Amino acid sequence: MFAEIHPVDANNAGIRDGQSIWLEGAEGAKLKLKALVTRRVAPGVVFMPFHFGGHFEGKDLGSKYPPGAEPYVLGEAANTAMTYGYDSVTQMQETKVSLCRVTRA
Amino acid sequence: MARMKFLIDAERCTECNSCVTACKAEHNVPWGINRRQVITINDGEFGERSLSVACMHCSDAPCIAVCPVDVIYSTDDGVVLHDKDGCIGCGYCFFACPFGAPQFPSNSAFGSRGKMDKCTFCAGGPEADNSPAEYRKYGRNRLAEGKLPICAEMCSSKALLAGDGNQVANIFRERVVWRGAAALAWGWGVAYGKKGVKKSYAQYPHAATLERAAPDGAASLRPAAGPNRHNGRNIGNNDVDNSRVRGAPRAGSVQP
Amino acid sequence: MLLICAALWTLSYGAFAAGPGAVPAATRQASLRVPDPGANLWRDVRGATRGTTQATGTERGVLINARGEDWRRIQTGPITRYGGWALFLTLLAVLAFHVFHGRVRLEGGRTGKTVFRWPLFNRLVHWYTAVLFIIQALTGISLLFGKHVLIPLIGKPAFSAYAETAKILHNYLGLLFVLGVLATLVVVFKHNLPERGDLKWLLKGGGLISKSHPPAGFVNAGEKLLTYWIIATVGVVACVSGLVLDFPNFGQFRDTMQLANIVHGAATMIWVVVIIGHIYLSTAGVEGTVEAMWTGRVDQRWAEQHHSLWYEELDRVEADSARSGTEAEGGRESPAEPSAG
Repeated sequence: MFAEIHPVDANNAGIRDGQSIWLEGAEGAKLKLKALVTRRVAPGVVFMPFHFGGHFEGKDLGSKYPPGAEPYVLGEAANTAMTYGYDSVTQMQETKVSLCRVTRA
Repeated sequence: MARMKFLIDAERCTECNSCVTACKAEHNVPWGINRRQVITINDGEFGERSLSVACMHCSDAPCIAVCPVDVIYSTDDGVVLHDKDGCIGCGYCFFACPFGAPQFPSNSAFGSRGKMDKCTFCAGGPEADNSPAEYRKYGRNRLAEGKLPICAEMCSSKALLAGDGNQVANIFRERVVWRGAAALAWGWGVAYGKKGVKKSYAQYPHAATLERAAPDGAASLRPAAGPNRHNGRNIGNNDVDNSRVRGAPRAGSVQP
Repeated sequence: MLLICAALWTLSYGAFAAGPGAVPAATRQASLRVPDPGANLWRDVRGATRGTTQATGTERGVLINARGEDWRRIQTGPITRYGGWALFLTLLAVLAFHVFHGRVRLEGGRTGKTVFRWPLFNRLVHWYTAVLFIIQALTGISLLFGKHVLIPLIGKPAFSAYAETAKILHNYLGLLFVLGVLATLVVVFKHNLPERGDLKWLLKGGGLISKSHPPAGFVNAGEKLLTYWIIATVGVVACVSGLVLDFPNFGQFRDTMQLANIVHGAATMIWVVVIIGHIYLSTAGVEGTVEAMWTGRVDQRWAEQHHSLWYEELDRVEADSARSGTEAEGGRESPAEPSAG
């Protein structure tokens, strides 16, 4: 799983392209991702793809899937780091955007 | 006979990678091999463009010329295929290809690469059409079923076109005429400066000319709606609403 | 020709060389003097620009790298054509020499008395390298010319099976062969330094045509030049380029592999042509030669006729030791005995 980070933010956090990072949501959840440093996102914006599962806060939970049901690709779920305004069951954020802090892992 | 070609419309590609995913799913391509890749230039900056690249099925294919065991061949349709049974994994085709289309399962010492794999235009290989052996080695053979490559079918913006070269070129030509060259023309910025790039196509001075040339909303320039058939094959739909194309003039929106 | 090839290739490299950055996310900033004209885009596309892509692997993200076309033209053009002709003409020349000139006979026949020439270690290194050379040459030649010559004869499936074996042999034995070449170059280095009689020997053409016997040392100038120093130059180039091709796992770009392939093709063809001459002269061409590398001993008359300076040294040493009363071995190495290390 990866997060797209602007070079300015990456530079300030001491992150290089492809390095592991901790993405911390405002509620304290920490996601372990890789950084994709690109100008696609504006400075101050971090984009993370969603609809992935199987990793939770850096731990691989792939073994907990029923046998044969494990997805081909496991990744951190973006919802883990989301904040208020989320659906109570799935924790999907209604606005699809929230606050985060990115630090080098 | 139709000469099969790919065409990628850089103005439409959104880098969604559907073509890549469709190809890998349809042909069960092993990990690490990317028959098709989407490459983005100027990522994140003004003028960002994406192109979807795979084997271009060249008419004078360099891979055919350099193969030491002569296993790459060109079909009557102009599709470049190869015989994995004869391939020795020397890598010459990869050296010769300008697009880097041939891929190999491994890159280990002593040049042991395994059998070459590449985009087949969804036309399988030398084995019998749609046989299990053909599927195992080359993936699905859609062309034999009268279908077009899955990457082009799956393209979300119809940026990637595939099919008979003439038809594909016609579609693209119509798009270019419809879009107009405008900001793409060389020298535009020299003539008008950076300010010359307008927010909407309708603001360009010559948009009125286009409207005058085709007063019926340029419908005569638009291809007929419905599926486009050629030799009994469906080569793509023409009922794409071109008015949604970025920069296309809308009826009544032209300002003198 | 090799150097010209390599120089031209490298010079025309120019702006097309993609640096060794394996990270596909790095983009090259396309210079936009005017806002986004399509011409700039397609110029970048054709100019081997590297864009971002989700695909991984060497050179992923490079759109068009047209150097492959240059390589294809040279590989299927001059290399194949001139290499093939060189091979054919050399074999023809050797045959013609043998038929019309005849082998160089040992004048006066053998004396039956032999002189020690090559120690066992030298011979082992020689045959190890020689056998591997023959295998490498045959497999390499069939990979280069096979599709033109063998496919019409035995058909594609059979040739494919043969070519697969040939490639495996060529690639795996290639490393062992390079070690043999290095050993050879080291072990006989001191015999192949230029000596006083060399130029005269060369000017006389070694007496090959005139049937004379210009004096020569332990190794004559022809052997020094054509066997040793060709191996030390052309051969080493062929080995190095072969190793570059043999180990693509170091992430070589296509441009590197293309250049290595051309250099390898040219160097090995020259090498093969020269070795054909070496093989002929060492076996059928000059009577009494092959046993030197086989048994290690040569007939005294052979030594007298072909390597007179060395033979005189031997004689002198023998005479000295006979005079001083020490038991002389039946002929010994030249004064600088190579250590069997």
